[in-house]
Amino acid sequence: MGDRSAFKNFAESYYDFAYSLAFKVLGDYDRSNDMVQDSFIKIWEKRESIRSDGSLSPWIRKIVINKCYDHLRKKKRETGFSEDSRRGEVENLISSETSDGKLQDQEYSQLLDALTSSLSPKQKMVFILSEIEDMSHDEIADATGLTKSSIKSNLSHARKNLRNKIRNYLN
Amino acid sequence: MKKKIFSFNLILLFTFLLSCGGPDALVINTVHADGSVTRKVILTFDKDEFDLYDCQVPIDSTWAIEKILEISDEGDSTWTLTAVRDYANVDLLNSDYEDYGGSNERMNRWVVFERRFKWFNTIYRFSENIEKAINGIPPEQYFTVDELHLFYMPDDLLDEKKKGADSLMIEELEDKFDGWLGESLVKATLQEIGSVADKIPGSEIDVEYLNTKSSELSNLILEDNLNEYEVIDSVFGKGYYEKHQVVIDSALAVVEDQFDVAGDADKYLVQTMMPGELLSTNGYIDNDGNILWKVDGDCFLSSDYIMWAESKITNWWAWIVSVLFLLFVATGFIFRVKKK
Amino acid sequence: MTKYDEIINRLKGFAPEIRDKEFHIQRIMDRTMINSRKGNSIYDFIFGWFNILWLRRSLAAASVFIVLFFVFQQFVIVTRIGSLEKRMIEINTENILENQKENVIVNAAMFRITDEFNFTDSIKVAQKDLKSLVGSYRDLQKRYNELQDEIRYQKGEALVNPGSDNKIKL
Repeated sequence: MGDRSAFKNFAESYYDFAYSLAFKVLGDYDRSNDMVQDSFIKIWEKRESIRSDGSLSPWIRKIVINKCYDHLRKKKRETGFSEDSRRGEVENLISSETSDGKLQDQEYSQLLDALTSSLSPKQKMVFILSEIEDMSHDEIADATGLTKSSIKSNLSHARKNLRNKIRNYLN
Repeated sequence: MKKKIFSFNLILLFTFLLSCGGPDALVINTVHADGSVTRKVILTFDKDEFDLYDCQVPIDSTWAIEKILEISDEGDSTWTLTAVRDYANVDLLNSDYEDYGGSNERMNRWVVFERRFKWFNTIYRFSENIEKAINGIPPEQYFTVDELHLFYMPDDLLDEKKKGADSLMIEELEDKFDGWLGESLVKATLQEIGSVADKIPGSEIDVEYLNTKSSELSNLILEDNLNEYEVIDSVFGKGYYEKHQVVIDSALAVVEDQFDVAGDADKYLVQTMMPGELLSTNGYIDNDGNILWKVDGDCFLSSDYIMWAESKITNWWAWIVSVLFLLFVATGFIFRVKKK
Repeated sequence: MTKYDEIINRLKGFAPEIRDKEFHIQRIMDRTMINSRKGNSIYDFIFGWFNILWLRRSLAAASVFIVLFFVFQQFVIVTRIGSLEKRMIEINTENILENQKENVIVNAAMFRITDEFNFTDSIKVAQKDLKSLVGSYRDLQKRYNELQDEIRYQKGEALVNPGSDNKIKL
């Protein structure tokens, strides 16, 4: 019981951080909660090997990213994004002049889907972690297990792809 | 006092001589792990005249008794009576000692059995105890360690030693013995005088002054030409005895009575066999683990005589449980390290 | 700032709304309970409580204590037995009984001697010397008898082997 109550406190402390990261990658409420829950269950199973010297955030981030990455790879095989649906909404979001207005959850989800639909799971993951989460290449390599050259390459492809997409929407 | 030493030695001599007055006894205690004791008493005599109720230790008709007659080539007869009894616990043995009315009736004896569980081993301790007769000088305070070894040695073993390299030490011990005896009697008497004097109001006896003269008294007590009253007067001044006659005579009577407990003791031998492996004892031991003590007046004259032995039995089940526990803990830790 | 950068900034500035946090955390705790009840393997069944820190340390401490206690106890026992062995002497119960019989006979002889004593014409004899003398005499007598029996046996005159004791059990 002592362990469980401590774990509950731990989950309450880090849930916001984990959910925020998962939603930014996946853009979906239900799936993000599922990934976060799966991540915390994995942490519970491996709780004895936790070394409590220092912050746990990098460690939690790594687990959440890996869970999301696995999901992206499975999802890519299952479904594909249709650019035609909700195109009008996306065009509004891209061409909107109010760049300081905060995006709502649904808006973020639509925008992310629109921009990254043609990216591979690896490209999408690298793009989100680097451009949106502002992680360094070293941090991305540590979290994903990818090599730095692979990260650079995938990031370059992703940026190129996104710029083309944005141009298409604006035109 | 001098007469007392002489008569004590004489009593010892006649006690030894007059096995015609009583058989020799060997008492064998076989101690069992459950605290029961099988006691075997072997009496040897030149006549078929065993008075069980007058034996050195308690025996009665309820014991299992067997008699053997041996006739040597010279026609000498030796009767051997063997009596055996099982005591369920030492309390029954102590009860027999309390009810005993034989030749050693005045000896206050008791046995103690202890069992201590120490997980890997169980330690057993058995002792036969005899209360001291007088408040004399304990042999441990008078004789050296080597001399004590000979002091308590059974006569038969001592006879063997006399033929060997220790014969000189044995002679020295015999010379020292009288000195010890005299000093013990003096000490006991002076102590008793002090005790009696305390109870009599108006007594002018200075006990501390008496004690300062104890060595003089001990030396004079061995003189043949003086009796104890003359000894007292020569040390403390003429007329001292007459002045304190009541106190001195009372004290002397008490000490004499106490002295007789040891002096009249009918000696015997005690052998003990302990359960398991012998650990330590103050007796004389052989390769089979049999332990032997002599019991005579010398042994318990001035100090409680404790004939003790300790042994152990290994608790193999505890070893197995401990090994299994250690294996379990080690395995748990190994699995844990591997899982990490 | 390009449109790309502008969109990236908007995406960076996004923070999702956390909803029903307690509900989701409770779901996590429920799932940990289910996982605990599953019991992954025989290892978890037998050694699962090694994961509890205080229990693990207690077991380790108990193990160390048992080993130390065993070593100490055995050391004490071996030391005591060693000192005991140094004190061992050759004694034999049979010899003691034989000696006791010897005493009986010697004392009987002495009693006979003192019985015949003429007190007006006495000599001093040490008791131990007398005992030794009688013992030697008995030994000599015994050997002489044995020799006589041996001679007769050789000649065919005796039916019994020399040196046999006559023992009657009652």
